[in-house]
Amino acid sequence: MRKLKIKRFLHEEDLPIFFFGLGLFAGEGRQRFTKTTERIEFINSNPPYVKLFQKFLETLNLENLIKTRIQLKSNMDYDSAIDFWSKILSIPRERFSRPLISPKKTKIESKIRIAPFGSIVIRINRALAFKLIKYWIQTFLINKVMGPPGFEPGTNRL
Amino acid sequence: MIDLKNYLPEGTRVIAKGDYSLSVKIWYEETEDQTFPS
Repeated sequence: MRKLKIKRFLHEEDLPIFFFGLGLFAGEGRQRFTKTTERIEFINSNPPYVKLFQKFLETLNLENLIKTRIQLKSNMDYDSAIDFWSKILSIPRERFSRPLISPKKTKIESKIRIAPFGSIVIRINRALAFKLIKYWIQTFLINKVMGPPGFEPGTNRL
Repeated sequence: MIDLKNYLPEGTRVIAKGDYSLSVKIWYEETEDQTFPS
């Protein structure tokens, strides 16, 4: 049995962030876990998306549970990266977990995609929070997009 | 305004109601027939 404290009422001004955050997590959040490792995990290098996801968690009063770590390549400067993400998220450097450093990219990979400050991992180690978000995404898709199970795809589109 | 209490999956329940400005606690009971979206 698990328990979680979340914000109960979402006001009108919270709704765009709430629904955008659900969509962002549906597209970019980690979805697959074993049953014992379920958690919220969002990895991204795009600052506006990262900030938006942080605001989404704030609308649910989950911000105090956020754990952050930086993922970067071995040829990148960790000090610059943590300064950057610390400012973006308004989270002190000392609250970041140890970085995950992987071998540097090949020249070809570097030309394809450059994330100068690496990626940030936002994690909340609560399975219930993950289950709630997944449930809200599915509820939204059923109510607003796909209709209830049993409908033929394409017959009930908006 | 959305009351998230009305949007909880089966198996969750409110164990302490906050007032209109407070939070709500949710208890999740794991049972064998508990299903969530995969």
